Amino acid sequence: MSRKPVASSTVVNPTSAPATALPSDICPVCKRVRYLNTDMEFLINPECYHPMCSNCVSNIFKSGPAQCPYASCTKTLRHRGFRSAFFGDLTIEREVDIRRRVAAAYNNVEDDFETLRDYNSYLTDVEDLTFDLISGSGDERAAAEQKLLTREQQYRDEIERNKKRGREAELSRQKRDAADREAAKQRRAEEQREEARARREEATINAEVMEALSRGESGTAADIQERIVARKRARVAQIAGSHFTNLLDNNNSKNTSSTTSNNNNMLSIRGLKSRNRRGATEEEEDAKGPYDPFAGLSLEPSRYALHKGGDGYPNTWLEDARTREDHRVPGYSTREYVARALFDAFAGLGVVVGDEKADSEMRGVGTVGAAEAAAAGKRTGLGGGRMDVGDVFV
Amino acid sequence: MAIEDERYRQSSQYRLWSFTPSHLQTLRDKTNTLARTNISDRLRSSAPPVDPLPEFLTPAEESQLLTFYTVELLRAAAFCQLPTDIQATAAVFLRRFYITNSIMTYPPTELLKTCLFFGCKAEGYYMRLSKFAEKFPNTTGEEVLAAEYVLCQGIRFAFDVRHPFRALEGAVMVLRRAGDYDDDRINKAHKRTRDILKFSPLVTDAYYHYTPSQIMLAALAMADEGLVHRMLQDAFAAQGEGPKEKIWAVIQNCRELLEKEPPERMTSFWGTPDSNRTIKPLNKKLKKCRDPDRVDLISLQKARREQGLQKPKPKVGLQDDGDVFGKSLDQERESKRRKVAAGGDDVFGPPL
Repeated sequence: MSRKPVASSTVVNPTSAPATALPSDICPVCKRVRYLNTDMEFLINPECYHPMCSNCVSNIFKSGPAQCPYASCTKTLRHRGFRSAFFGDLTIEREVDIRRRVAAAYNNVEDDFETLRDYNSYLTDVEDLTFDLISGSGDERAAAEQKLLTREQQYRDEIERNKKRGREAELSRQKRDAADREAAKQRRAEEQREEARARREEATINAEVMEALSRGESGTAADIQERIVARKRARVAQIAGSHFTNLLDNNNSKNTSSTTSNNNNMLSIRGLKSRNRRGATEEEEDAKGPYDPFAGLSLEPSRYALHKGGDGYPNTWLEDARTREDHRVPGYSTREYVARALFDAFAGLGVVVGDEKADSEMRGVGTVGAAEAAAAGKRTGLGGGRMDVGDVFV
Repeated sequence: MAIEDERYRQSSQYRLWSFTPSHLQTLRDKTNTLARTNISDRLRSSAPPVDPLPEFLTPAEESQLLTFYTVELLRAAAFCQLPTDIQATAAVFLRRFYITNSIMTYPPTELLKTCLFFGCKAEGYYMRLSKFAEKFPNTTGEEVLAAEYVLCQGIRFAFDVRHPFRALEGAVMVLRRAGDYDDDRINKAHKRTRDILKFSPLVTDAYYHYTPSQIMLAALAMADEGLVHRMLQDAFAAQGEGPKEKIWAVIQNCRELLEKEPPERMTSFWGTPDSNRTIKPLNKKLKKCRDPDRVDLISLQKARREQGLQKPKPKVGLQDDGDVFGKSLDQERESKRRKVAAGGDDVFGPPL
């Protein structure tokens, strides 16, 4: 146990850097070969990810914790920490382990956040931390490790709560999925039954026509047949909605099981799920008021008020458009005109071009692109009498 | 922070075509020097080199000429009986075009017609080209169209011009509604302001330095100052005296600018022997120092068209997979692919 990290006779692998791949044939510690021991298995310990064969593990660590047999690796390993690696590439194995640990500590979901932006920045932060842990330099890694530890310790309750909630959500989701599947199955069975019924109805047409003919009903044979078919069609439609009427149109009845998806009653199930899930937040949103696409930007003018929505302004020129039917009927609205005229009267009143454009003098030309073009033209000596405006007559 | 101002700031008139006076002056000087060097280079390199070089126009002379041609444009527009908005749009187009292009480079007489025609287009007022060309002596539709694309480039494809005309209607409606003034006074001011707006801002640089609302109020102030004070009082009721005084100062400046070219000058100065005395020598000078390459815009346009037609079309579409993915396709597959491609169509379809 007290062995110093520097060379020792038992150390076989001189490198201490974490191995990046699982060895396939030779155990790096005891040099045993797979040829002699076909069921040799390589284990790793997530402390340092140094692979060694299961024999070595039981030999070295059976009697208690010991130092890793790799040269200059000072980690103390325990027997129960060893496991077989899932990935051949051990850096991946390590990354997956780290990610699993970080994800366990930072297990908030989107619903926990006020806005999407918050959630996204949270995700960014977590990913930064993960990156530092995986491939940061020594300091970064230590700092990230510290952060993660603090989080794990201080927020243990919260983490546990989130975890529990996640499990519950998962359970209920599974339950709901099962119910969905069951309902869909029943619906399908029901539809098949109805379809079969419709088909049976249809099959009796010929027999009925024959019977009617033999009874000697009035009308020609064609009339009778038409009448019966019409009656049947009505009945079939009654049975199965409008979907199966085509059974009568083409006698080689198509397989109509594909039409099940057209039924309106069953489609909403997928949508229902999300609606259920969001039910609570929707109510909250209703309380907040309707959705505002402008995010609170008010288009109310500040320098004037539009009286009576634009009707409160005497204007002899607009009288015709307001009163005469032949002007009003096509839909011309004087309100629009009045609103626009008033807007024009006050738009830009507070814009002092002399002040606001003072800095643009440095830029020289109207747009950034034009400025670049002008600069390019000057460099190549093409600028000529056309400045920044590309000349078509070149 | 008024939402009206914010919305005005979105317009191309504010973004691209509003300048401080000094900035505008630098732009014009720059245009002038560039045209000068370009044309003198051209004249020196012509077959018998032109020697001595003609005297070029100064920026001041150029802007004098530009004002003259703007007035000509307004006259032509009135002759064609075009609505006010289109007249104004065309005039603004012409003035904007000659900020980044020199009068010496492109002949203003041609551009004037193009501006008028294009102004109709920009304002959604359809006019048949041949009918339009008929109204001018010795003009074909081709001539009108020749400079159209250059014009569009020159005005940076900013076809929307904000005019003060509708603003005036709005202001008059507000004043009428206030009910403090008798109709005669308002009507008189309305008519006078309309006359001013139809001429003065268009032949000065008001459109660059002031917003339509300010131009309108400045013109209204020329007609009846009391009405403007009333308007400002209402508009800045919430913001207090400071901003109001500031805007009033801006309007005063604009008014000074407009008073340099009151609408009376349209008849009392422009087109009289007075103005001819100053303009004629300038026009003579212009004839001498004009860019010889750009006198005949039609043939230039034709040449450009033909050049465009002959220009080998850049190959689009069929690129090799290697071009799309970089040259990293491994050699073995490449050779196989070539073999397959040689035998006819690629089994896996054409390259991406």
